[in-house]
Amino acid sequence: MSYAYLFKYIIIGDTGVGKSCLLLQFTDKRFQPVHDLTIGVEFGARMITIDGKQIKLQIWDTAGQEAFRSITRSYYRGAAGALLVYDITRRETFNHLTTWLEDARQHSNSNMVIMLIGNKSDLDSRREVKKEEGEAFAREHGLVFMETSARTAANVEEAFINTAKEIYEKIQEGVFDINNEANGIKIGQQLPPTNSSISGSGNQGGQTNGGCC
Amino acid sequence: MAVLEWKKFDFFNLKENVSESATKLLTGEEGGSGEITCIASGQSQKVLCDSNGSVFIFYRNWKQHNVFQAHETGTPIVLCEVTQLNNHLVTVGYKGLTAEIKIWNLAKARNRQVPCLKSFKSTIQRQKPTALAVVNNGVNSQIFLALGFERGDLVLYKGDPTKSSDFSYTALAIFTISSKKITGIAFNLIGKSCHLFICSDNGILSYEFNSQLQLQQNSEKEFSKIILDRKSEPSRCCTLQKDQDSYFLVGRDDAIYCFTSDGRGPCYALDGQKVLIKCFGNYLVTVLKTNKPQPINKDYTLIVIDILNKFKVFSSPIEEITGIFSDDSGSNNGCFLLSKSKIIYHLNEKDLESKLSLLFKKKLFDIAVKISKDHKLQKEESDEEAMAEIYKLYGDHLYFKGNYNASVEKYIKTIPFLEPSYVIKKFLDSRHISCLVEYLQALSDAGVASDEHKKLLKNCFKRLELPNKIESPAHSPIEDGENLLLSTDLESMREILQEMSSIDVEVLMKNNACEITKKDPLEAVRLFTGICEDHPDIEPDFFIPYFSKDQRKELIEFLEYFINKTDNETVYNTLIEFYLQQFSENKTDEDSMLEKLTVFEGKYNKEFVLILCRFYKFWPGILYIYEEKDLHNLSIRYYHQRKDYSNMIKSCETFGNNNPNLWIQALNCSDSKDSNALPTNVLLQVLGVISREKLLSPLQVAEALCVENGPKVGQLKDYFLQMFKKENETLTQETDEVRNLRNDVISLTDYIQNCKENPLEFGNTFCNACNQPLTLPSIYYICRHAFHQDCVKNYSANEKDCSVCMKDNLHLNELIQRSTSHVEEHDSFHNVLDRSKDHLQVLSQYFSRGLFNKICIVDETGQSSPPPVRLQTRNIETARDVARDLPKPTVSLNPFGEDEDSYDKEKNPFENDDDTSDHGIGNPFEVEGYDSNLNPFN
Repeated sequence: MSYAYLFKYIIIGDTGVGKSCLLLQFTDKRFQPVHDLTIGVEFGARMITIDGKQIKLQIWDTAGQEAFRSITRSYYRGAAGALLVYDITRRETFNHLTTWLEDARQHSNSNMVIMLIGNKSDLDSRREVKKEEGEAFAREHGLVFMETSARTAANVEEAFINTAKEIYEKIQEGVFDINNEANGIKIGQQLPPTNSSISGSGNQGGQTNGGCC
Repeated sequence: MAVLEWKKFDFFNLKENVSESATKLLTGEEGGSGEITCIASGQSQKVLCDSNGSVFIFYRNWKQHNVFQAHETGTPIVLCEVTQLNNHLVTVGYKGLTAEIKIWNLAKARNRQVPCLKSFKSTIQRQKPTALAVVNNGVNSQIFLALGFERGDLVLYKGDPTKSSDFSYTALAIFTISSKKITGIAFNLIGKSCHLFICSDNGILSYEFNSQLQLQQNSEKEFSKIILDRKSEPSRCCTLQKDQDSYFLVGRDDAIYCFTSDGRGPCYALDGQKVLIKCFGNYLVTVLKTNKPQPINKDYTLIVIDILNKFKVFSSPIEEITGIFSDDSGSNNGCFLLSKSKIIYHLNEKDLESKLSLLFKKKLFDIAVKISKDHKLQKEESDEEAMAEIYKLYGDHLYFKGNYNASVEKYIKTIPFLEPSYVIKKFLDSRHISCLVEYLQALSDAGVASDEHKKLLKNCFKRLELPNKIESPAHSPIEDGENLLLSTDLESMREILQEMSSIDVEVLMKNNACEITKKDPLEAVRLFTGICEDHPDIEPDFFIPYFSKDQRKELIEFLEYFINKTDNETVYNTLIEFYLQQFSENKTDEDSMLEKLTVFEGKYNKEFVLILCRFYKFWPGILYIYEEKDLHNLSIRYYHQRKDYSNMIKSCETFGNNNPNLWIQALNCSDSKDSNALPTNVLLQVLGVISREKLLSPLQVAEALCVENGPKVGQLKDYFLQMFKKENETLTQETDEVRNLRNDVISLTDYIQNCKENPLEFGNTFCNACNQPLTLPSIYYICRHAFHQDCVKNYSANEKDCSVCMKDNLHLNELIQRSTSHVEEHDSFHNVLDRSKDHLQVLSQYFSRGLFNKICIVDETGQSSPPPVRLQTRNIETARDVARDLPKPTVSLNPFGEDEDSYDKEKNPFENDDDTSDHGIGNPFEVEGYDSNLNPFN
């Protein structure tokens, strides 16, 4: 399937906050109440449309366990967006955010868009972290904030798409060097010029091509 | 990384040495001197190259083979690869200066001869080639060939080996990738673009180029280079997974990383130094080097990972492995492994059934569902019923755990295979009504709900005060019938009812049968029989209550109609009741009445009829049923009351074999109050049997007969004299035996003492095995057997044991073991005790096994280890229970006063027990913490 852009994401956060479930909800539109612990890094992909352009999201879902930190660190580089997830029913996952953020900032490229996500918003009765606290943290560190629920799928789609929008805007502004693939962005397969002249008026690939060069 | 681990299952079998012939060939004359350096698997053959320049090709499961000399003798073949499309073998030989590349056509292999298509030398010198990859161009027989070297150089060749002119002897491109050795190369061809993955200790990168690329020296522009990973970490092995997303897998010490052609993919954390990795199907096989101490020669670990489900499906220690043959034709055959010692292993996937049963045992139903779904996808067969079975087990499991909502979800998936009542039954409790509704709704949505289910659902809705979503089953036929019943006569009624469903008829009759019988009993009988015939599921007993008291004759007529036509118990019970009623009123012939009972044999409820017979005092019938129900003791009591001794003895004799208690019953009858003592001849007959079968001890007999109006002593004198004589004999016999055993013990103790303290002299001159004169070296055992050393090796498996004595010793060991090992022996003891005739014998047997006391076992090291105290209160009770059954040997109660003089105190086994202060050696119940007050013998 052809796409205009490919964005690479990474999902990080403490173990058990629902990273894999978020990914599963986004890619497969289903929820698994009992999910096995991620061992290493899992991989998912989905197409979205922004501004009339097909964008492929490639997502690395990392293991939250401390023991896998060295493995997952190598994945920061090469990601254009990061979803930093905590669990609103567990205060300590919120407290660890600073460590995660430092880690991400240190190992990723400086332009990476980071979105803060408070997951499990369906469990409001067991909430330990107020929404305002999450908002304050995000404001302080310059992140986008959202509360989601992988179970009810609330805001899941939005979280991924908003991040993509942000990246897309940054591309338009020229912040990202899109030719450096280490930034986690790839321009879609450009159709050869001969081909596009045969097919006639501007198809998407041609347009993208023109826009970028 | 011990915190987190993969889910572990055992889904594979590893068979060692699957092809002895291949191993023999490889270790034999031709292959023996060389070492297998590299392997490759082709379409149907497996290729092994050795350090002598020879190539071994095996076909068809190692059954056939071909050997040929590919490179000069002594030149090790360092790398080899087979092109998948046209079956060309590429070998690289290297001996110090330049690598020599040869391409062979395996398709035209003859015995020991394989045509060589091309042979050329590498342009890079003095570097050992370390990695090789080949791929068919796809379009024609052109191949790309990439060769990596130990100092990081890589040469890419392209050409057509089948055309002599076309193949470029020079390189298409030469890259210097890194300063470190290239550990792996892989081609991945997608359409016209070709990806070349290169893995080195300095990083991983990929080149993308057009597969139609023409020869242009060093045109690096044509190659777009993507650096996948810059990490300088040892990457010992890599492989390409072609099945799904074409991942390039690199095994590093912390994990196995996957790369796509343009970036990182997933990674599987798996700690350990990976030596080999290979994919087949959904599985990833890897060999790790282990640092932990392992069984001898098994320093490596073989691990199989299910990539799709993220399970570790196999793990086992293994010796060093040279290569893994992955069968590209499919994962069903598993894969073969070649060890460094040239043994071939076969790793084979277990079949679905055994996998599932493994999972069921662990209660991992979700995984079972997942796996069988995957399996079905692979096989493209759908066995819905088997899936339903899994869901049923899953549901049961969740139900058992109390997760009702989840279990009902699983049960719904079993529709329509599982019988709905199985599920409904589980959720009938009002607490689970929402689950029940859910299930019933699913049933009716699936269109398999019966009227009953719908009714139930309707009731549930009513209960939950929900709007009724189900249309109620039609009631109209009944209402119609009721109207008809009032208007039409009974004769035409049957025709109308014939059309109606059984349930409707039942309801209709329930409301109106009384009216009908009242109106015309005879017609009613005809109508009812008609209904029963038309609707087989309406049983005749349904109509019984609708006949009134004075319509007995009609009812009998109605019921008699069904004799031998129905199996309904109530019909026969009722019929017999009426017959008995008639019998008691008219005093008709007993025989004909009994005949009726026998005719209906097995069709009526015997307990019920027994009560009826008793009510109507029909004795032959009672006796008949006693016999049928094996209640012989009751019939004996009846005979006894009637003084019908001949019949009593007869039935005792007939049934006594199976139920010896009958004889005791017969004896006990004589103590009934109404002075019904048995006549002497009968009594003696009974006693004879009792003594023969050892049903009661003489004292028990005496106790049984010692009652008011009992038989006179004179009648019993013969019996008791005989018994005493017999007991006397056994007593002397056993005393003798005890004496003998004591002597044995003394001599054995002496012998042991002797062995311990005195020197032993070994004067054997002959070997106990071969009976030849002993020669050195010989082995002497402490049991005074001696053997040649060779004989010992031949005759016994273990040099520690004397082979002559071993058999006995084993037996003794077993006995000791048995006496000590069964901690749970109490139960078996109780069982044996209950079943045995001679309680005392069982007691003494178990006493000898040490069930009642603490025992010390001296093991080989000479330390005595007290076993756990196994005596529990239960044992004391047991002993008491048994003792209660035993006679009480008190002199004052001795009923045989006349024999007092001949009473020999020494022969009385209980003599010692009279003395309360003496708990001598003879007391089998002597234990620590023993309460002497509880001893019934005192």
